[in-house]
Amino acid sequence: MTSDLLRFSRPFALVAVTAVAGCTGSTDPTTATLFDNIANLNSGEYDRQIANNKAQADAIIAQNKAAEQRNAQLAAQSNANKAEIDSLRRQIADVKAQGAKARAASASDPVKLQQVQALDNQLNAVERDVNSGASSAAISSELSRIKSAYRALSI
Amino acid sequence: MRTVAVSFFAAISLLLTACTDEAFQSASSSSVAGKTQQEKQLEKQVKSLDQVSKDIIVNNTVQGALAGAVVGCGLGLLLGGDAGDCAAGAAAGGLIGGVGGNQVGRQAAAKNVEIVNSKQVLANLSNVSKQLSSVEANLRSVLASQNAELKSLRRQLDGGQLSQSAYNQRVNAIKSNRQVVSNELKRSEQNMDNTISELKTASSKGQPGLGGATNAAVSNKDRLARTRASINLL
Repeated sequence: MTSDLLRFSRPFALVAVTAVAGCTGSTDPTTATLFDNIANLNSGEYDRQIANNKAQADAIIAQNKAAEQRNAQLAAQSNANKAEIDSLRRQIADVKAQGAKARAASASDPVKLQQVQALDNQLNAVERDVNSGASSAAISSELSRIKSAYRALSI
Repeated sequence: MRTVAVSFFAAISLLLTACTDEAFQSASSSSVAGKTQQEKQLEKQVKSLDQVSKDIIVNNTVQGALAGAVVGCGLGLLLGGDAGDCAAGAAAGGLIGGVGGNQVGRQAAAKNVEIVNSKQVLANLSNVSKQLSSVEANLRSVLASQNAELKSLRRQLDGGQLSQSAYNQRVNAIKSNRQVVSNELKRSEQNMDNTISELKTASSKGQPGLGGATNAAVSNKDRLARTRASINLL
């Protein structure tokens, strides 16, 4: 009984399926029907999408390689931008002027002069760092503290 | 009277407990005090990277073989469900495509599965690679700034311009930041390891088209490892 029904319904099903097939046409494999699959296979659409996937995998690998090369180059470069460095250099010049006043005021006091010399050495180290591209809020704070110390010795 | 006193004592105890919790939370959050905005931003970035690198494999990758069988044979089942089901389905499809036969139906289904399998995985892997680029840019800047600051702090400590506790607080914040970033990068690496392992398992079970995704995952993992290695934990 069941097999008779199936035998009877098969031609209708084929006609219905063929009719439905004419209404499809998705190239998106997630929504494609069997008909779309075969059409996409025959048209080369699926081969094109497979090639795209392969190209994307290659692109990820290439992007990773390029990023690592870029990192290696940038690691050797200065961290600070020109505006920051210029600002720190102006600050250094200002602190140096205060240092000159402290040295003049301490000329007759060997202990104070030694302290001024220590601050000079510290300021030179800061300047070397800034010249090599270092920049951070801490360096600016350090310059302020050196200036305060010079000022205390200028009295 | 005794009940009132007990209730009062209980209420005070609860209040004190709440105070203790709050105090504990404050102490916990103070462990991040001393970090700069840029350092906090970097920590957010690496945590986000960890999340993104977690779910690379989508469900349909491991279910792909089953889906392929359904796509290949579903129509045949509709037509009768006997031994020639796939062949009948493919033959019906051939009316449109200009070809016929069981082999074509299976081939079309296999290519469908291959594309679906790798497409989303590759998109996810690409996202990891892009986010890692942002992390690296910020990391490079943070590390350079921290290195300059560490030298500066040391000079200020030696010059008596900075207390030992202030020095320790900031140095510990820098150490903590580097540790957090390193740990998160390590987690992302482990996520990539899991992805590679799952992709290899899926391939060994007959999933097609996962070779490119596997290579891309290996590339991401290697890059993550090298980025992590660039961090000196002090």
